[in-house]
Amino acid sequence: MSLRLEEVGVRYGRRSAVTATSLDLPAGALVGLVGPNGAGKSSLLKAVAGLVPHAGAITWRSAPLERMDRLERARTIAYLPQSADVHWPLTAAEVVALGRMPHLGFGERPGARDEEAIAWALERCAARPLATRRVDQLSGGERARVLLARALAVETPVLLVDEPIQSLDPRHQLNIMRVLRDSAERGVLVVAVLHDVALAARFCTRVVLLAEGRVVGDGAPEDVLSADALARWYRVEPYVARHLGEPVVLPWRQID
Amino acid sequence: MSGASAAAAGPVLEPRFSYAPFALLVPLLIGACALSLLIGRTSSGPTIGFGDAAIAGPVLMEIRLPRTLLALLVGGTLGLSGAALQGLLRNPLAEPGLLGASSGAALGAVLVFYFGLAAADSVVLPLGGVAGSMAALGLLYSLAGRRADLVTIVLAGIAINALAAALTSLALNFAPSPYAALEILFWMLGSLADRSSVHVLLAAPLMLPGWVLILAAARGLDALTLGEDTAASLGFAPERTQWLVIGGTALSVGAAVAVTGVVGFVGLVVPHMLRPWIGHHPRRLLAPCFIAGAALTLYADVAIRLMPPGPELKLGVVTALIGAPFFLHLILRHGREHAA
Repeated sequence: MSLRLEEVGVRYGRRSAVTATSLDLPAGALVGLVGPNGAGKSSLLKAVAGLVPHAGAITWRSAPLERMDRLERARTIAYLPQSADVHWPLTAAEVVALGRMPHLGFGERPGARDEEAIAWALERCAARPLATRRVDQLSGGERARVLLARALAVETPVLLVDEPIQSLDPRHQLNIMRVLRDSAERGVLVVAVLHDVALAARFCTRVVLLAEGRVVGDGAPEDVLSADALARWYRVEPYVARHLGEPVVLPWRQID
Repeated sequence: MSGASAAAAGPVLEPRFSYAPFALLVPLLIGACALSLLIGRTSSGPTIGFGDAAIAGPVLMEIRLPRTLLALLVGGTLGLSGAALQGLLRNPLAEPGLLGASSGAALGAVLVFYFGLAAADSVVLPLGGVAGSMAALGLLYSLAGRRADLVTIVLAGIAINALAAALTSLALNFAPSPYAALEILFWMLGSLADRSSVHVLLAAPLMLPGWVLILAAARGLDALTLGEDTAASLGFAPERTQWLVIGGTALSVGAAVAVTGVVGFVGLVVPHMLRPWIGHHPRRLLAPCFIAGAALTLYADVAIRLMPPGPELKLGVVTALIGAPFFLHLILRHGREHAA
């Protein structure tokens, strides 16, 4: 029951974004993919989502992803991209309903089971009151919650999210991190690209630190996001502490 | 799962799919067909009914029925492909001619005129049009490539339109006679007059597969609402959707232009008329846009026949006169929304 990456590499033309990365990510984990800008976090996520060609092998429960048919793959891995584009002014519920497409055959309309999944996903992202609002009239934070609900509504065993909290206020950042952690506790493998090391340290069950296209740290958040690692890879000096038994990692000043 | 409590709070999916638009659009279309069959035109102006009993049968079967069917096929094609292209490009200002299918078809037909083949057989002209639109599609594909992004495709379409326009001008420039040049010009204005069942039989077999391709892309268009990456993650490869829509449009619009000349703006205007009413779901718009496009074209063609005596107004002129100001209004509104 794990997502296994073996020697995965991603290249854009001659530039290598990810090199020979091997990881074994078990179900039920909330994995924070962290690292400085340009480390290859998004590229690695896209490779797993099947959006960019890659070298090496990626398997889910020992089944190679590239041999799955497109709908089976869509029912296995949900992906939430960084961009918050919704090109037509649909309602929030209609947007979340798009997440049910891999479960519907040609010409099949959403049934009670789909309605339930949509309502549940909206509920979990605190977006239920937005259901009938048009997405183009929502604030950035509200829209981000609706889009996460869309990804949750697919109800896949693997959920990949690329910077899900970047446009959110602190309260909703905590809310979204809690939703991701809950999903992991229900047995979903959640892999989240995060820039906020404080939230990664606080909520993730495991942190993978990428730099220059390679894994340079992998393990418990506190171990990976150590003062040494932050100094070396982010060039920042953190404030490190514990609060109510949880790790606190706060980037404090940049190192020249 | 905590689904039970959420479901108890009532359905959240709205607006639901509804037959209401069809309840209004279908009678509108039937009414348009009836008027089109009932109203004709001679050199002395409009005629209501079928005239003398002796000619009633031929008038209905050989003149009005083909004209009505052709308006239905052409208008439906333009509405459907307009809605599909706007969905594919996620841009409400897209229209079926954008990617070069219409101008390619027009050029093909113009070349038939130019080489004097049109007189030989009325079938040659539409065949030239179809060949032209297929050539434009082939050129688009070879310029853009299979995995092309949409910006490249749109730019390639613009280049093809420019090339086809240049070659059309060249053909006009060297037209064998002023009469031939005039004939070409009038044909390009777009008209349903003097068409026969031959045209229907020629266009329909190309339009049908075109429609099927577009409808096969319908769900992919819905998925594209969330961008190409999300669409791919939902199991709908963007390049598949893309070429289904482009291929379907080239086939059906190419066939339409080949038999009627260029009838502009129907594909642009119709989706806009329906969105406030049906919503913005690309898939839900397709069938209603087909019906509304057919109805609009039929009513425009009926209006032409009702004009006072004189030279017959060309259909493409009427749709452009209605469509261009509408397009302008759309652009102004688009600009205001972006400024806000």
